Amino acid sequence: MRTKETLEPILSFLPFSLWANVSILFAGVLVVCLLIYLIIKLFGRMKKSGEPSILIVGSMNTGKSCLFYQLNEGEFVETQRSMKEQEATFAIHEKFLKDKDPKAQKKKYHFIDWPGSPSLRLRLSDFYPITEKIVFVVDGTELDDDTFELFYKLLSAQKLKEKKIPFLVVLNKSDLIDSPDVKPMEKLFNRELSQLNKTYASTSFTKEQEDETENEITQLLDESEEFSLEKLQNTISFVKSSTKNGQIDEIIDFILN
Amino acid sequence: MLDKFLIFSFGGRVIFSHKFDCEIEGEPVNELISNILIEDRTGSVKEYVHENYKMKWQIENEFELVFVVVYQRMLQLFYLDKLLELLQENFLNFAREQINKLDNPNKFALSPSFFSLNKLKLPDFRPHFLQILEQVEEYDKRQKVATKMRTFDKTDKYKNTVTAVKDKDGVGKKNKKKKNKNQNDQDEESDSEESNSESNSPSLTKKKKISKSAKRIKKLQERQKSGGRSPKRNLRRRGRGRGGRGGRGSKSKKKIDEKPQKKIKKPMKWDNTLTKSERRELDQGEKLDQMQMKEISKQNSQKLIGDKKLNLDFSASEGEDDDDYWELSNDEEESIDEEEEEEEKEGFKVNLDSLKKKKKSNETKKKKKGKVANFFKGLKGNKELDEETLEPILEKFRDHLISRNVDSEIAQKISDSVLLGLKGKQIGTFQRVVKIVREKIEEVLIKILTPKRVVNILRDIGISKKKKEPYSIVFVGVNGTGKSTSLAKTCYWLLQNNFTVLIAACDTFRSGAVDQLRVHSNVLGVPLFEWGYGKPPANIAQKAIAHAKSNNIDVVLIDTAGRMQDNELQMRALANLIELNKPNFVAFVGEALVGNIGKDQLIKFNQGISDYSKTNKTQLINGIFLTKFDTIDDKVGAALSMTYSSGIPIVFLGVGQQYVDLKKMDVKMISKTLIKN
Repeated sequence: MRTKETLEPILSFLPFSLWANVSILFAGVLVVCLLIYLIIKLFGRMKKSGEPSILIVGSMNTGKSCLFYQLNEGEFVETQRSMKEQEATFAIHEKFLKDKDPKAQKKKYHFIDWPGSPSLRLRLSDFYPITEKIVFVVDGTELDDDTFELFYKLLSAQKLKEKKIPFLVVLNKSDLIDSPDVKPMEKLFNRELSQLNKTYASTSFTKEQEDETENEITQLLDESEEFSLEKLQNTISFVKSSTKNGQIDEIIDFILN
Repeated sequence: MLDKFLIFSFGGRVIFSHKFDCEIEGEPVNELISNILIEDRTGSVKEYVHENYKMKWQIENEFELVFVVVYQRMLQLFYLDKLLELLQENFLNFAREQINKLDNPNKFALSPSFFSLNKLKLPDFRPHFLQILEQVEEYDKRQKVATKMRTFDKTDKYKNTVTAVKDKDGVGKKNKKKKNKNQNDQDEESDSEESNSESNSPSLTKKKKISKSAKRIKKLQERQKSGGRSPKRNLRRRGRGRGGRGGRGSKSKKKIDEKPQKKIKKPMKWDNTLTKSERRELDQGEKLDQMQMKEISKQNSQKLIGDKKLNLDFSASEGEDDDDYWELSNDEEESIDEEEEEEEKEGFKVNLDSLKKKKKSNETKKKKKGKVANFFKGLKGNKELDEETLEPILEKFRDHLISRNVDSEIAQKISDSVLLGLKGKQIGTFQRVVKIVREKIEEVLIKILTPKRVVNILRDIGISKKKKEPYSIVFVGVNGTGKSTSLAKTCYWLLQNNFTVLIAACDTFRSGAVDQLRVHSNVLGVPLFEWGYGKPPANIAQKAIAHAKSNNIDVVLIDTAGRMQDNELQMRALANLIELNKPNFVAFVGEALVGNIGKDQLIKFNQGISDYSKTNKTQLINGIFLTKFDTIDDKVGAALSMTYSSGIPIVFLGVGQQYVDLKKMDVKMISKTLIKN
């Protein structure tokens, strides 16, 4: 009886009898709960904010997917050209973490292996907001224009500049005889990027106000100064590796720090 | 006969690979991925050729797997489609089996990441693969052996002539003598063949076999008679036209039956005194309707066969269109198809039945899980996209693309690729199919429009500058597309980027062409290299480039005369110009207004340049300038048609008559405009 007295004034706005009102309200609460649950499930695909995202990019045939599988499984896996990006959250394989502290062995990372084909590059910019580090894989024996264009594009992306994302340029396939060393590669990158820098001067084309800035490539440094990678806001480091043989220790260090 | 078989995931992991005896040269599968699979051209081609290899593939969208078989280019193997299908089914069942064998099968579920991240190490699939391959090859061999020729006296035709001969008295004897001669010749050959065909398939009854192979051989004989062409074409030649219901068999029968009674041709009635039956006979419209209905049903049955029916029809010969073959099978009595199906079922009964059983057991196991979990799982979505749901949506998108001035063929190819790319994909119940299709189409459009290699002209000019050589750009195209204007705009742009430019007036045909360029050169302050009208353009270009080199000019812009893509002489002249001067960049200037003809122009120009040049490796068109883009509002489909058919990227868009009206191609903007409702 007490419950009835307390409930009556609250539910007086509903037109039906008391118990009908109660059941309607109860059903309404259930529906709301269900909706919330479903919404959470649908959006549950979004990455949890805990794990840092590491983007593995580069031109075609450089060993990105190979690196991805080495990190996951600790062994060489035969791969073909990737048609689609691969994302997975896992801890680096224990094989590479033998001398590190045990905390590192448990820490999980969200790796994104992006295909090298230029046709698939447009959506890469969607991942910039969650990227924390970039591993740029390069085939030292077969450098082409595309490599430098992509590198320049990444460097000039606004969202990556703002967050001062560190870059690691990996000279992969060091097991091959003609694989170059780090210092000459640094110089080559400087040269090529300074060339590209000139071509992306801001007075190139008339811009409309509706231009999207995500895929726009803007000039990195003023042409008057000498171009140098050190002058950029993002830290860039160069290392050698061989994903085939599992020699990726320096990459692991980069990821862990 | 095969060289390699691969199963790999979309992400790139090779899940299973089997190499046959020879080493594979190069990376044909990578080329297949780059050129067909990534670009979603799966709808337009069924096989891909790269150097010495031909490849066929099967895509499994649900688990993001691709099954590829690589073989020698010269071979024609018809069992590959069926082989791929069987292997696909078998591999998935193999994986399911492995999961069920575990102690805790619920821990793993078949999904794309199951394969790509190798969550469960699967045992070697090789023995299963080899077994299936052996079975399919065996079956193919049996098929080929079974279709041997009958002797003449076992054909229906002979029976008919003998019966006809028996009716007539005097006339028949001569024919009989001729028949006897033929019979003797063929008897010697037929004996050995008969014994072979009989011993190979003891399972079928003799009668059945003879009637089935009789019909096959009748087919072959008809084909031989008509000189290797299909009976359909044969009918056309005889003036009977299409839509002949009942096929050759019944028609030839008619002819023979009517021979004894000479058919008197009835005079045509032109007044209104026609009876109902006569009117119906004359009504061609009805016959056409029937024909159309047959075509539609034929198309539908083709689709069905592609998806579900396992029709192992190996009797199609090469060089014939699919159309020809299907016409045949529709014309024949339908009993043939049924009989063929029965035989195939017998041959593969064991395999298919066992596969079906396994599938059923898996499905029942799923149902045994908790009801609540099931309910939420159902909400989360196990809705699978199939052709029925996708087809109407794709049709709307197709019409939409066509309304945006995309070539209808290309719209069809794109929708086919999207269908293949989405078929079998699992989606959540809250996701609208239309939205998914739209996203996929946008993705496909972006992939098509994005150039495979980044075109950065300024950077290339910088490289040439270092080598101390002038960078030459040739503008080609049909009449009136805006070559001279585009040249002037490009000149202005290059000047803004601090390069020195020389304009070469190689359009010596059109009146006023040189003067027009003179005006531009005066306004822009750029030297003009010209030699008046009527002189050979190739030489002018040569001299212009030499002049630029000696004066350290960075870029040479060469204007050519507009020409029709079909005009051989003019295409030869153009090929000569390009071959002689080896320009760094050949720009095709096309109008956005013209649409589908632009695609034709581009392809023929490209072909002409390569065909009419004397060397093997010629410079082809490097990029497209799409002009008059401001006149088309949202009908931007021409851009898509041109890029899709040729693979050449669009570099610039012309958006007006002023020097500054030159924009770089914005792929996202165009694809959004194409999709926007």
